[in-house]
Amino acid sequence: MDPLTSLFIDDEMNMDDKISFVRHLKNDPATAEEMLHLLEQEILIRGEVVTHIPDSTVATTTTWEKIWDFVVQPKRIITASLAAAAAVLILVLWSPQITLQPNRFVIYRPDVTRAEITGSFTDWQRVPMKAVGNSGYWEIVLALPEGEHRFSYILNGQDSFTDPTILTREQDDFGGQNSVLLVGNTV
Amino acid sequence: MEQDILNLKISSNLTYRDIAGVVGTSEANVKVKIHRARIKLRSILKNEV
Repeated sequence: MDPLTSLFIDDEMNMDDKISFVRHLKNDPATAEEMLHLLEQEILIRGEVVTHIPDSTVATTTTWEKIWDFVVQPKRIITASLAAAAAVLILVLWSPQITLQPNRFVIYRPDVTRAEITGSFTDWQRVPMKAVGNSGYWEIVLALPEGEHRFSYILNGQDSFTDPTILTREQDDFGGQNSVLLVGNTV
Repeated sequence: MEQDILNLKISSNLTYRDIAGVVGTSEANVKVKIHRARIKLRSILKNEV
């Protein structure tokens, strides 16, 4: 094998070398074939095959497309729905149960034409009480959660009146008194 | 020695003249050694296939 092949591979040829080399290849097909093998070998040992990283054929998708693809899969819709239902159920079951207990408020004030009740359970809004016929009794039934409540009656739209059947009372911020009602088992 | 010179050529892409200066030999000697190394490598690879 003529060293010209290495000169060719290594770009070490001058013009005379190139002419000589081409003539050599032209007259000797075996040398031309061997030259091709050496060139392929050179590519191998120089690692040229790995210098080019082929473009990825995997289609890239945006984050939103991935989310959309994830969401629209029927199985995942069903799974997500079941998971959401389970989450709601768990929240409902685990949340503290607020039990309301009906509480009947009754006062005997035949001397008034109007009676209302206001308290912490009405956000201190006045709620009209119902006159029990002409008996002089006024009543209202309210569903109250367990706990401690404060309330007062308002007579004729202006006079505060504490419940005479409830002994626990406390001063309010306006110089009056509120009855303190305990509902349920709360101590 | 031939293998080392071929390695030097491939890794550094120095010219034959520069390699000759590095290894302390003639340019003609580098030319021959590099070519011999290639032929030996060709033979080894051919036998492995």
